[in-house]
Amino acid sequence: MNNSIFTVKSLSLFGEGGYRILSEVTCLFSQGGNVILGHNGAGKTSLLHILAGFTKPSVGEVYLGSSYTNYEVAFVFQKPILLRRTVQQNIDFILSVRKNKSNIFIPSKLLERLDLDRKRHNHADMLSGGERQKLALIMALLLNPKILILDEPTANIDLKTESEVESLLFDLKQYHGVHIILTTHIISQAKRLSDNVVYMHEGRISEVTSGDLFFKHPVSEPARNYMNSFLGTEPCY
Amino acid sequence: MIEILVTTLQVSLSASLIAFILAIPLTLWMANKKQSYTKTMLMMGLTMANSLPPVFVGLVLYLLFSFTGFLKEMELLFTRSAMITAQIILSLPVVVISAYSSIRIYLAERRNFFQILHLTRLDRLKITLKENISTLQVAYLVGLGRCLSEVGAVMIVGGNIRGDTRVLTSSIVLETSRGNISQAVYLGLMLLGISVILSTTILIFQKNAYE
Repeated sequence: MNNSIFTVKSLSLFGEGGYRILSEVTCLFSQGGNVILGHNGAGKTSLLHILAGFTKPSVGEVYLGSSYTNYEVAFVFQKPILLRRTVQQNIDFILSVRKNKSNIFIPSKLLERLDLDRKRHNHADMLSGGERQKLALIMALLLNPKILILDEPTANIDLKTESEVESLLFDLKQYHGVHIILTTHIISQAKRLSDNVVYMHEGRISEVTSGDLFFKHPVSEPARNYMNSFLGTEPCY
Repeated sequence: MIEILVTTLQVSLSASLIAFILAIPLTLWMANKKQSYTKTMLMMGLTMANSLPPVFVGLVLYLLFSFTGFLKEMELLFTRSAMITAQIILSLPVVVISAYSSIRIYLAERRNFFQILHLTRLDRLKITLKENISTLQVAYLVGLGRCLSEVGAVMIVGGNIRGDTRVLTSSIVLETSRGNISQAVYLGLMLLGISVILSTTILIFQKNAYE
């Protein structure tokens, strides 16, 4: 229990007209890397939004680990949200409003690492999709989070950017003690970043296990089918 | 002639400014509020008011301000205040409708972002106003345009009194009816000049907003 960053108990979420988006979800997100897998519409994003406090569950409870506060949770959206300002002004804004003012991450180092330092005076609207996503990640990290929630952070970006983001996330988890909860459809990324895997199917959790076990022998039928759908496209299990 | 121009600008600038000040909180409230019966009704009302015939607004205000009207004690009939009131009623919905969509989308996209930053309401308000300044500028200018071009209501409640409530649009109507076409054309060109300046300003703001 002390090891958990989030505990989710009997959580259900209903959409308009009583449509069930999440159904009786109970699981524990541990320290390290947590990857949520599942087909589109499985309820991954809805679960992330509940964890971040954006959406209230219809039924059930979510508990943040006792060692953490809400100010230590950051979120990277699938579609990056930036202010209508330059890269530098976006960063300055985050530095001015963040609650935890300690300098764990240095903006210039992050910009350099993600190859954005030359674009710091460019307007955010003029950045490419990948660059916008990298800036959104930098802004999330400048909040000095202990828990970083990412909703498909490398969707719709090129392989080079994907690799840069993935490496940074790996280092954050491995060397900076940042706990990650991530949704992705990229199996190689899931393998690299996951200590634990949560597999979701039609709004329910069908499997929670360690990353090693999941990628070798997914137990539940939906998880096996999901993994089989990647056979031939990239190394799987 | 200058007097008419000054009166026109005084009345229209005052009305558009007051309408704009009233429109900002209303727009923000509506953009921030989830879909509800109240919001739907308000939106419907504003959309309808957006296309209100100015002469109808003038007629209603005339009835209210006239010697037998409900608001006769205020003694507003044939004053600039009555003209300003009419123009506020006409331009307020235009300003709200012009700014609403853009601000609603802005807030909808950033609601979760602001939440994860734990911003206070005041902070959210400041950022929203700052980031949508171009939208608001354009909305104001559209409202001002509505005020400047309006003739029906100001003639009815202002009375087109020389040296007091006569404005460019009502003067054009008067001079044309008198057969003084050259004078009417001259006044029309003045109004056109203001309109061109206004349109150019809108385009510059929109260009800046895009860049």
